[in-house]
Amino acid sequence: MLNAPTPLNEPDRLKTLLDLLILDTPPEQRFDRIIEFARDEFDVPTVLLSLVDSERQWFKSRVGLDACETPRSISFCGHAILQREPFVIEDTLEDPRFADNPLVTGPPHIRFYAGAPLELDPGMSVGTLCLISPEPRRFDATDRAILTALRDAVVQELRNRKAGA
Amino acid sequence: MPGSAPAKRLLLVEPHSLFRSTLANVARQLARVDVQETSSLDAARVALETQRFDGLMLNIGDDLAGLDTLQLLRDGSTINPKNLPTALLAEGVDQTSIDRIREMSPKRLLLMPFKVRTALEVISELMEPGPMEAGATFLRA
Repeated sequence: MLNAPTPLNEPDRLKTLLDLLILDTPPEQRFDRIIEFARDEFDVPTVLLSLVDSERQWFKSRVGLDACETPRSISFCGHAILQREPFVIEDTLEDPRFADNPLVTGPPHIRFYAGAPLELDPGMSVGTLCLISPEPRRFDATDRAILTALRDAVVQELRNRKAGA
Repeated sequence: MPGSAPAKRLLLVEPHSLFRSTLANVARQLARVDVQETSSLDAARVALETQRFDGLMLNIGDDLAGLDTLQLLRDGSTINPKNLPTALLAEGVDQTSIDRIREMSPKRLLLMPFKVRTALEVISELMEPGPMEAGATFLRA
């Protein structure tokens, strides 16, 4: 298994996240509606708004998962925040980076993952909007475009929240 | 891009903001359609009276008020062709409403719930050149 790497700009990235004052806050309808929309659009059981903290990923909004956080080291989102575009693993068992990941070999038995990075400022990805399924699936250009548009909606809501709107 | 045809123009009238913005953004990116979006029937009427479009996607609403806007178009009361290719979005319709909808010759009727992907496919059909089909095709995604 390949542990989630640490971005070169990690101190600045974490500051961007902490400046949001959002970690460990209650659910908010403005985010939940996007998560639920994504679940219905993609027909996946689990959708998360994941924020990647120093040692954990914490879920501001979630459907299909009981846990409110998991270790960053084994997270898929820790990989996704290093990308500019959606990070997609169509079948984890076919990918040596993830085939023996505890989230694959044990609950929630991830077989499919697609995470779009939440880039608030250039290079400052604080987390992801991600889709998870226990079944492998194809993810085409239309899927990527829809996920990206929903990601953009999440980023806008994060900015609105920070601005007090 | 030199020599390329101008993007087709679509008027998207849809009150649900997340669905509307997602569909508009993806249509612009993938279908290369110039989408003008609004949540308001009043704004839609003004747009149809002042701007030319190649297609219309219109949520007719629970009270079917959107059909009045479509009637203006079909009556020739706007600057757009009476037979502008149109897709209608609806929560649900009874038989009386279906009869009224058929009279207005939409190219498609999408009954909710449906996916953004389905609406994108319908937009692509609306933007295709060629004569408008007679009658309505009913889709439930």
